[in-house]
Amino acid sequence: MAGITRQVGALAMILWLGLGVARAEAPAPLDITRWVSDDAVIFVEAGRPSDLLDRLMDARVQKPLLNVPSIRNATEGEPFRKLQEVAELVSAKLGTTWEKALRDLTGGGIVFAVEAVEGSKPNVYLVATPSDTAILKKATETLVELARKDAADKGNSDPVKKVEYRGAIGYHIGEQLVYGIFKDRLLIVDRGETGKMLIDRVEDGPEPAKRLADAADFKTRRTTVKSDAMVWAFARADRLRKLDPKKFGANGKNNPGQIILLGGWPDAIRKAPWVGASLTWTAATMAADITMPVQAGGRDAAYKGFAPPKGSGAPALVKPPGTIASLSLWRDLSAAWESRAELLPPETVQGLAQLDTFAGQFFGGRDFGTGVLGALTSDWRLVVALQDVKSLKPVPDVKLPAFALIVDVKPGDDDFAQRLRVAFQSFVGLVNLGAAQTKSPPLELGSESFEGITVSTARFMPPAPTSIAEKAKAPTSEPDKKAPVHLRHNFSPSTAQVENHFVIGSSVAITRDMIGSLKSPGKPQAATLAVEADGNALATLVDLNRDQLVMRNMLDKGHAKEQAESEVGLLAALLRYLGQGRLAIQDDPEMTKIGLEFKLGK
Amino acid sequence: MNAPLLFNDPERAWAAFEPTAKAPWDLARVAHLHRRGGFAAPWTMLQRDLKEGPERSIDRILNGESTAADGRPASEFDALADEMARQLAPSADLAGLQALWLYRMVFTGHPLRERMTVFWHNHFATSQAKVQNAALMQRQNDLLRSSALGNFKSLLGAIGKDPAMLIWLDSTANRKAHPNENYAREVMELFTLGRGHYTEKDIQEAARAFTGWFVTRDQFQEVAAQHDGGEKTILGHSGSFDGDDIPGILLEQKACAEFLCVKLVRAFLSDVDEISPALISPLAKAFRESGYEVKVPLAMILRSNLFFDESIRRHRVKSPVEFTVGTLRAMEVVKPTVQANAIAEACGRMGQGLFAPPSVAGWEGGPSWANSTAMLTRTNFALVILGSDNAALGKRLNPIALAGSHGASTPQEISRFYADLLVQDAFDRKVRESIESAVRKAPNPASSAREAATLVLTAPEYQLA
Repeated sequence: MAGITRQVGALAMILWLGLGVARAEAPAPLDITRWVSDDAVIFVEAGRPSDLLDRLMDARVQKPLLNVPSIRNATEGEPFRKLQEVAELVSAKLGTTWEKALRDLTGGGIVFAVEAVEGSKPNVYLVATPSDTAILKKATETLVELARKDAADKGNSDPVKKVEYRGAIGYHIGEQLVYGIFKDRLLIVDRGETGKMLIDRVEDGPEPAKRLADAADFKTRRTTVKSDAMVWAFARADRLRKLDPKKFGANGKNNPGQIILLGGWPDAIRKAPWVGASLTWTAATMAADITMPVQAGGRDAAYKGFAPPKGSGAPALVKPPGTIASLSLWRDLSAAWESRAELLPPETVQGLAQLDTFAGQFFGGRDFGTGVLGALTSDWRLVVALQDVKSLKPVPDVKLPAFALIVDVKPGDDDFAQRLRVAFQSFVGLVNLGAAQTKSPPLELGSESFEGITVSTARFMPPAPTSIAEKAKAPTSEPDKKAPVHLRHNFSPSTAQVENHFVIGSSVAITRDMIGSLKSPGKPQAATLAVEADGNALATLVDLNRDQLVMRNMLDKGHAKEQAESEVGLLAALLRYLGQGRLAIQDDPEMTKIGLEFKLGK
Repeated sequence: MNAPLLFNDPERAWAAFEPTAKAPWDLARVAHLHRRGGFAAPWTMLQRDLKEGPERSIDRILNGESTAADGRPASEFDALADEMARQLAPSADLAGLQALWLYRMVFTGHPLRERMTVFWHNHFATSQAKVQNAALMQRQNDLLRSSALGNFKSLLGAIGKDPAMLIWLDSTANRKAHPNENYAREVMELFTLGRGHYTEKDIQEAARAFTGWFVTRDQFQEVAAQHDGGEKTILGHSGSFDGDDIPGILLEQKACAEFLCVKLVRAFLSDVDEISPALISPLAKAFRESGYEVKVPLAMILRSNLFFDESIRRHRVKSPVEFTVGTLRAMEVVKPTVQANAIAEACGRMGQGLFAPPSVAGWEGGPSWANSTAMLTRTNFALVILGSDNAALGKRLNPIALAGSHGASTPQEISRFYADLLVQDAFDRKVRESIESAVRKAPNPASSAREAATLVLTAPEYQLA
C-alpha cells in the first residue's frame, strides 16, 4: 500500500502532459473493468474525468479550494512548482494547455486498482483511456525527450529505460515509475512485474472465476451505481483487514466517545465485508453515497438501540425560520444503556455508574436506565438556527446561533415531564451557584405563555453600567469606548412541552419557534439519522460575526487585516456554494447506506 | 562587568548626544536606538534614520511612526488593535490575552509605547493566574497603554481603582472595620517609594484612607458607608484623607521620582550596574518638576550621551518579548507574521509569560533571562522561523528574498546584510569572515541566506540589547 501515494503522484505528473493533435481518433472500445482480477481489494472507476475537471475548475470551487491550508501549502510547495514547470514546458512544446491535454488523455475514463493476496506484494495500476490514440504516443515521446534532456543538462546518465513486452512499450523512469502504452491505453504500474501480469492477463484471458467483474459482491455494488456517477469505488474491507490488520482492522476496543456519538456505525464499518462509494457532481448538485452490507448473521444484538426496527426511523425534521442545521435521530437510549457492559470498556461502565446515581437523584430517585431513559421515546431532534440579533438585549459581540433539543416523552408518564421541568429549574440554580462563585451575572427565572403553551424562561441579568466615578477619573482617552458584551447574552435557556414533545431551547425565541413547528408535525423518515444544513444560513452567521472571525484569523494566522478578510470572505463563499446539504444514514436489515447531497448554490 | 565611565559623570551623561568624528551617528547607534527604544527595526527604517540624524530619529521613537508595520496609518492600526482587544479579550484565555498584545507589538507604529506598557506591567505586576478575568486584565493593559508615556500621577490614581489590581491584592472589599493593608503596602514599597522610605504606621494610615473602595460586578465602586472619614497622618501629612489623596502625598516624596527613575535607567540603560544617587538626581529632578510626565525622563535618557555611549551597547540581555518581537520586526515577518499564540508560547518558555508575572515584584529580568533553557528556546525559535516545517512559526520568512530585496545577492553581501541588520558592530572582522566562509559552503543561494541568518540570530551577541 505504501507505494500508492507515490503512484498517484506519478500519475499526476504524466497527466499534466500537453498534447497537440490535429484530428482525434478514439481507441477501440474495451471494458477495462474486465482487466481487473478478483484479487482486487480496491477498485476505482472515473467514467468521465472531463466532467470532474469541469467541476474542479469552476471558479466557485477553485477559489475556496486553493485557500484550504493543506492544498494551499501543497500548491505553494517546491514539488508542485516543479510539476507545474514540467507541465508548462511540455504543454508549450506541443502547443496546447495542460487542461486540454488532461482532458484528451483521460477522455475515455480512468480505472485504478490495487490487487493483493496475503504474503505477496500488492500490484497497483492505473489505466487511462484517451479520447485519441495518437496523443499517447506523442505524450510519451515528449516526456521521454524531456527527461533525457534534463538528465543530460545535469550531467546525469539516461534515466529512461525502454522495454517491449508482447507488443506493449513500457518506460522505466528512475526506480519507481513504470508506464507504457498498451491497447492504446496509458498504463501506469507500480513495477514492471505488475505491468507484465496485467498484459499477460489481457492477452491470455483470465480464468472466468478470477474476474472482478464477475464477482457477486462487485456485481451487487455495480448495479446500484447511479448512471450519472462521476466516480465510483469498491473496496473489499474484509480482505483489507486480513492484509493489514493494523491499518484496517478493529483493535477490539470500542471507543466510548464513538459509541455515544456514532452508535453502531463504526462497528458496521469495521465488520462490513465490502464498502462501495460513488460521487455525482453536476453544476447544480454534488452527491456522495457509501454503501456497506451488514455482516453475515446481522448486526450484533448489543447494538439494537442504535438501528431502528423495520418500518421505523427518525422523526420528521423540524425547520424553524433561519434554520442552519436540523438533525433527527432514531436512538433507543434505554436499550443502549442495557447493553453498556457489552459496548463499552469496563472503566467507562464504572464511570457511568456515577452518572446513574447522580442523574437518578436529579430526576427524583428514578432509575436512570428504566425510569429516565426508559421514559423517553427513540425520537431525538436537534435544531440550530440563526437568532434575531436585534432582539437580544444587550447584543453580544459574538453572535451565536440558537439551538433546541426536542425529546419525546412516552405518553402517560406525566410525572416524568414534570420532573424534566423541575430539572430545568435545578439546572438554573446550579448555574447561579457557579455564577456566585465566579461573580458572573446570574440567571433570572420566569415564565410566559406562547400559543397556549407555558414556556419556562431564564435570562441573564444585563451587565452593570460603567461606574460614573471610574469614567470621570480614568486617564483613558476613550471614555465612550463601547464596553464588551459577553457571549453569554446569546443565551436565555427555556423549556416548553408540546403534547409529548419536550423542548429545551438555548433561547426563548427558538423555543417559541419550536412550539409553532411541533404543532404541525411532518412525516417520519426511513433513515436512522437525517441532517439538513443550509450553507446560506451558515454564511449569514459568518457575516454576522465577520469582524470577530477576521480578528481571530489575524491572531491565529498572523495575517494583516486584508488577508484575514479575504479568507473569511472565501469561507462564506464556500458555504454559499455548498448551498443546501443533506446527510442521511439508513440502517436496513441487510445494508447500511450513507448519502450526502448538496444542492449547490450560485 | 565594569560600569560605563559616564555613570560617574552625571552632567556629561545626561547632556544630549551630538555626533562627533569619534562618536558618529552610525548604523550601530541607529540600531541601538531602535533596540532599546523599540524592539528592533527593519533595514529600510535603519537606513532612513541613519540618513536623517539623531534628532528626528529620537523624536519618531518618542512620538511613534506615522505608519504601522502592516502599512496602514498608525492611528488606524491602533484603533484596530483596540477593537481586537475589546472584542476578543473578554472570552480569551491567558494565551489569547498574550497573543493580542504580542500581535499589537509586532505591528505597532509606536514600539516605545508598547515597551513602556510592558514596563508598567512589570511595575504594577498583576497576574491573570489570580485575577482569573481576562476582560479585567485587558482593561488594566489598556490603562497602562493609555498612560504609558503620560502622567504618572494620573496612572497611579487610576491603578488604585483598577479592578484587576484590587483583585490581585485582595482589596475588593476594603471595609472601615477591617482596613486591608495590601494595596497600601504595595503602593509605597513597589509602586512609588521603595523600602526604607515609609513606616508601618504610614501603611496602616493609608489603608484607612483606602477604605470604602470595592469591586462590584467587575467595576470599581466607592461605598461611602464603609469609608473611614477620620483623620490620618501619612508621611508627615495629616487630614481626613481618602484614597484619591494618597497619590499626591506619595509623589511629593523626593524618594518617589528617584525610585521610578532608577527603574527607567535599569530598563533603558543598564540592569547590571550600580546606579548612583548622583546619576539619578538630575533625571529625578526633571521628572518631579514636570509634574511626573513620564516622557520627560524618558526623553532625557534616549537623547543622552550615556544612552549612545559605546559601553552601554549590548549591555543588557534582551527580554524574551524584545527577542521574539524584535526578530520578527527586523526580519520583516509581517505579511503575514507568525501565529500570535505561538509567539506567546515561545515567550512563556523563555520565561516571560505576559499577564502572568511571577510575583508582585514582576520579573527578575537582567541576566536571569539568559539561563540555559531560555537560550536553547531562543535558538529553537530562530531556527523555526527560518524553517518551513512549523506551520505556526515557520514558512513566512524567506531569507534569500529578504536579503535580495535590500540588494544583497552574493554570499558576501548576504552575510554582511544579516550582520549589519541584526548585530552591526558586535561582530569583529574575524567573526564576519568565518560567517562568510560558512555561507559560501552552502549548496545554493537559498541555503546560503538561511545559513547567514541562522548564524547571526543564534549568536550570543544577538541575545544582547
